[in-house]
Amino acid sequence: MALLLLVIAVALCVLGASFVAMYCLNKAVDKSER
Amino acid sequence: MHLIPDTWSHLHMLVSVFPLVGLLFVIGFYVTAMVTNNDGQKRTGLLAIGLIALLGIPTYMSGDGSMATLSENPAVSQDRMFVHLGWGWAALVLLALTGLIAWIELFRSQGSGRPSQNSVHLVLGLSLVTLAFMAIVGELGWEINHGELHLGEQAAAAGSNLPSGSDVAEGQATPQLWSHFHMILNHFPTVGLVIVLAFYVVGLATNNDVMKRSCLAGFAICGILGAPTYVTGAAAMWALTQPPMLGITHAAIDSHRDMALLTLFGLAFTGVTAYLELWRYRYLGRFSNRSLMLVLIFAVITLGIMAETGHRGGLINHPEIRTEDMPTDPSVFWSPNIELLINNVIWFVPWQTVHFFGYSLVFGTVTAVVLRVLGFWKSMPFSAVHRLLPLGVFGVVMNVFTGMLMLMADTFRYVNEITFVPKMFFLPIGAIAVLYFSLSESLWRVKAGEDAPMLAKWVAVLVLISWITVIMGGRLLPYI
Repeated sequence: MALLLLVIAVALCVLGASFVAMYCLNKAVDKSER
Repeated sequence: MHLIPDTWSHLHMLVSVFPLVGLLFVIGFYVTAMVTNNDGQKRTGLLAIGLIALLGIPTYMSGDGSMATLSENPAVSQDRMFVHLGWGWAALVLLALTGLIAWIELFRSQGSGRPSQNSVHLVLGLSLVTLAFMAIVGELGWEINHGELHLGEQAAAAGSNLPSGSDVAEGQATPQLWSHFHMILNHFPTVGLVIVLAFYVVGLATNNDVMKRSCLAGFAICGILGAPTYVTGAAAMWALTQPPMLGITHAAIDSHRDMALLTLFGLAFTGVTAYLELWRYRYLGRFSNRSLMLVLIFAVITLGIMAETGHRGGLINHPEIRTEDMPTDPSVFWSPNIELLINNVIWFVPWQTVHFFGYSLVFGTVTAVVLRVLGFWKSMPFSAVHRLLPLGVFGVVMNVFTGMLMLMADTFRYVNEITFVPKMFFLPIGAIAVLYFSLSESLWRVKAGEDAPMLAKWVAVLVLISWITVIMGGRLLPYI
């Protein structure tokens, strides 16, 4: 159980960080294209 | 930081890599300048070629000094030293000629600011021939003291010393080819970063956008090459310690490995920041000075870390440069302790899961971009799929980080698995080829409904094949 929770937590953190970074990067580009 | 050598051998080892690997990177910038027809970068290239030619003087003198010292050592082959010296003379003459012509053209073009086409091509031709000679000289030089390169099939080690769970046959040792690759490859992120930094400073000072872009790509390339350098180093560690070799200790290797881990982080920060700025430039049409400064700061810090890493690496097998006490206890270093920790399932499995997500991101991004370039979904302009590339970059970074951790769990097994070789060979190729998508002007101009240029399609196929090989190479590790 501990392992499963740890895996889910690590995956969420890593993927979450990637998606947030993508959102911020593309927001800056969206602003310039408007 | 160990940048000040205190013996002739030490100076020779530090300086001699610049006329070889340094020249290769300078040629890279020089050719980029010719392709983009950027006079500022051409002239900077001519200056750099001349400076590298000047480095031939301390290279020769320190080599001469080293010969005198090494001649007293009966274990060092006199013949090999003289063969290296002979080829060195020829390479030095070519280097001097190339540097002289480069600087003549540099001064001649001072007024107009535009070097002539004939001279530019002449310098390129001479540089390429010089590079070939330097490669031969370098190889002959390494053979003087790296006796492990001459070992053929190693005697079978005591079978009981092999790690458990290994698919490797009893007594098989890690091939020395890994050590050979590591010795060549480790000079690329190091010397390369020095050259890229030099061009970068000039590019920032002269506000030359083409030079800045070339340097950002250069930083990304140095970052990418950190991964295979680390892996070949891990393999070299096993090649040199199993069976054990006289004079090579685990403590010295672990001291080097710890710094190498920090170097990986430094290279990752520098390379990723540089690539993201390169990506963003496409849409904004200008650079953010803050980001450019950040890249500069990361690069300088990484250079410092790499200098120490390189120094500790040299200490492993070069007794002639040891002027301080060598470490004796491997257990004080991080690397062996990380190896022990990662062997626990609760630490290994989460990172393995992240690794799987990482290559999913990589493959998803690659598929979308490559298929658009090849002609699918022409309703989208290329600039739309280009937006996805940072997601692929994050996937690669995740995988390099988690991959290193998993490698440390059972290095001997992984580096001796046959599928690991194509994986590590195509990883840098696939990553570097992706840079083309952010650098090509003709590809950027592909609008909705238009077909991409043929060169872009070739690059796209290379990228697709590379990442398929990397993923298959990794997935098949437990089975082949």
